[in-house]
Amino acid sequence: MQKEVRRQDEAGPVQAAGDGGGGGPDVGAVHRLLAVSRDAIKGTVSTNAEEFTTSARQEGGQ
Amino acid sequence: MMDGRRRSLMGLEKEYAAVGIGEHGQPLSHDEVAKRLYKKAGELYTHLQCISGGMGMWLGNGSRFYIDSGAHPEWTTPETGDPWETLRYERAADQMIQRTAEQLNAEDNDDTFRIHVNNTDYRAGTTWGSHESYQYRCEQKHMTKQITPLLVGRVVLNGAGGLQPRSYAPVFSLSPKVAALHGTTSGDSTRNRAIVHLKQEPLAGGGYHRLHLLCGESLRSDVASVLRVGLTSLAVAMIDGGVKPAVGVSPRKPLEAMQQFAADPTCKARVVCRDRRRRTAIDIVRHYVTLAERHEGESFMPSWSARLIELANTWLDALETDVANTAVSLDWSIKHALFTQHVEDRGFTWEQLAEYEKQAKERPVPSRSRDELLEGLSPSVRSLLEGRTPPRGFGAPRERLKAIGLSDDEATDVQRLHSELHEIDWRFGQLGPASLFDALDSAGVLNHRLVDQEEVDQATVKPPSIERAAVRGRMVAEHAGTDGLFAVDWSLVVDHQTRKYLDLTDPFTPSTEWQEEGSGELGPDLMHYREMYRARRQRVE
Repeated sequence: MQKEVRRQDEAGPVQAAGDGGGGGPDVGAVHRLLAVSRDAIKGTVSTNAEEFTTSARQEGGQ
Repeated sequence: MMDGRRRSLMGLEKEYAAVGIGEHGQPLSHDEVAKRLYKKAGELYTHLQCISGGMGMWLGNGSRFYIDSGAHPEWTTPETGDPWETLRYERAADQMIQRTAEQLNAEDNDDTFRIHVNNTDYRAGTTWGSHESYQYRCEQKHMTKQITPLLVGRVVLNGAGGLQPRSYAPVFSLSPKVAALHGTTSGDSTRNRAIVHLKQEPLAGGGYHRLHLLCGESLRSDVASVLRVGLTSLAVAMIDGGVKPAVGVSPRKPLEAMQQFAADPTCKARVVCRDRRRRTAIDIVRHYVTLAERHEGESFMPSWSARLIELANTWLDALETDVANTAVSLDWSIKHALFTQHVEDRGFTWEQLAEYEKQAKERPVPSRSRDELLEGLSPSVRSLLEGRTPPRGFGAPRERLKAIGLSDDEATDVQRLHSELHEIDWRFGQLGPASLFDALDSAGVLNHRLVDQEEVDQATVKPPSIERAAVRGRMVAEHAGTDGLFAVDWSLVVDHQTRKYLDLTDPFTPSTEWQEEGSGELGPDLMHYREMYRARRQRVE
């Protein structure tokens, strides 16, 4: 949980404009997101998605 | 007033979806999960009990952790003075509950606990709230009317993103919570929820009201979180200052407009407003920001207005130019990019899935017995549903998909995709090592941070700038561990032993003098707490 995080208005791989980023169109940023997400999804999403979501929805809520 | 400017007061209540899985893969009851989380949090964090009793504690940073109806864990931020401060305490709450779950996981090799910040389970109709509170003084009717268009339009900035709940095929939604709303206003918080909640519970004296909103969603993006609270708080300040921002931009049918905006990832959908002109969600939000800019120097506007206005304009510009500009920054837009890739990887398109959904909705299917509904499910999923009535509509998607002409294999593929997208959404909102959002963040591919780890760490132990939160936090630090001799609530700290109390009804100038019970003029809010305190004391004695 105690991972290192950085404000994007201080440093980061995506050019930021103003407070909190929001630079112009950056197709490369989206490509990087999708490349990383495909690997992350392979690494985290279970082979039995139905079971995962069913266990979650048994819990109480609002 | 501070520096001649209005002081804002705001806060969040965040309901967490907590999941416990036993050693054989069986889900633990939500009562057990809640109790174990609560007990562990009590061991980890300095606290005092809530006056109302039950499972509720106040912590040294001024926040409150409790088990709410439905046996879900809920964390309330302390009162905060600006949206960046709110963000720090929201992230502190995330960190503290996740630490609690991780501690349980470390101590118990058999059971596993997971915490999610999602807002809907998609199928059974369960929702987890992310409520907002803003302090104001004007008439409630005026506030409700003038704030509603902003709440309708702001989903383009602060929708959590996800899927349309209880659909037959996956359909993207900017804000799945919208499907759980049933009108523009309502006094109900558990059923028939509406865009504006009319609860009259100021939790403060001095003639304040509290705008309580149920229509928002928990967010992972810092930018989206600050825009959500910041824009709403700016609008509250303007409305309290006599500005009427709703004039000209009120959708004729607010809930339908919100549903239309939530269903449109292009952000180009237009809705008819009361002046008969058609406006996009961006038009409506921009109108509020433009007015805020015009009034920025007025005394009724908070000192942080200019900073927030700049942030809002940046992101509205980004959306207006090309929604893809926000695909690494706003929750719904990040999810839309991820989901779209996964849909295409599985050989589908959103258009194709939307057509399946449209046709399936129109096609009636014969009713099925419980055994028929459970047929084909894996043994572990069947065991999860042991002794329970399957959720409404369970099993129906497959029948409907086949009824519109899909083969058995095609229906299976659509359903598998649907479940995978559900899981991606839930993994996105999960806290801890398995979190998809955190994986993306750690890889440096997101652009959203407005707070750093050191600030969040500080917020887990120190109260915010609002004076009564600071007093409350100090009382917790000084008297924790006194075995129920002290108790706390928003407007009151009581010492059961001496029968004295601290009056915190004024958030900005709370009393620091202990008063004898029965002394002083008590306002209605404090009288409410006094009755609660007396009832509790009778139980204790």
